[in-house]
Amino acid sequence: MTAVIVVEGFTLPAEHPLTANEAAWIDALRSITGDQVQSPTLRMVQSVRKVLGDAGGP
Amino acid sequence: MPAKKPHANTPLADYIEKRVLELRPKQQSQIAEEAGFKNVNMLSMIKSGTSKLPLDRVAALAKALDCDSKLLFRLALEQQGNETTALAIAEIFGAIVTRNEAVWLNEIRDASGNSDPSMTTRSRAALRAIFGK
Repeated sequence: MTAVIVVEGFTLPAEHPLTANEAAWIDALRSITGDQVQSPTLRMVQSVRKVLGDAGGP
Repeated sequence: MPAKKPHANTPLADYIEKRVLELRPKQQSQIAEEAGFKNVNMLSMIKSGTSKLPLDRVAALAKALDCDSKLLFRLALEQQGNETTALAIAEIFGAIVTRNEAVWLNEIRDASGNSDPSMTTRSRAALRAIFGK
């Protein structure tokens, strides 16, 4: 396992690299919002949860 | 003869125009000054597409426009038209994701139980509905 070196003042762009599927989600969000993705509201989060929940988990 | 406004209607020029309007009554000259432009007309030139935004001005301008510096950086990079630089940055530092996009990613990871859901036609339709598109 690779040791994580923390350097003060530097932050990672994300917790871990984007997967191809996550990149596709970001691309879709950018495309739909005209490249100006707003932070999700509670209602948006609930809608996404419904879609992903309905899609069936493992 | 070169175009007078070669960068007009680029996503960056459009975005800056929108932010300047949103920040009213803050003056454009004040924004330019806060961004450190020696010539206050520079912001006007970037907005109209006469000039492009130099990458070393991105952080200061993002602060003056009170916007996400990662978004502004990505738009400026796109405006430079240098695909190689964009690819190198993505490869070395990771994908440039804005704060808002990171929040979406966290929600998607959380909502899916970290199952890495694919972007299906149904998911896309749901996103369109969420944004009323």
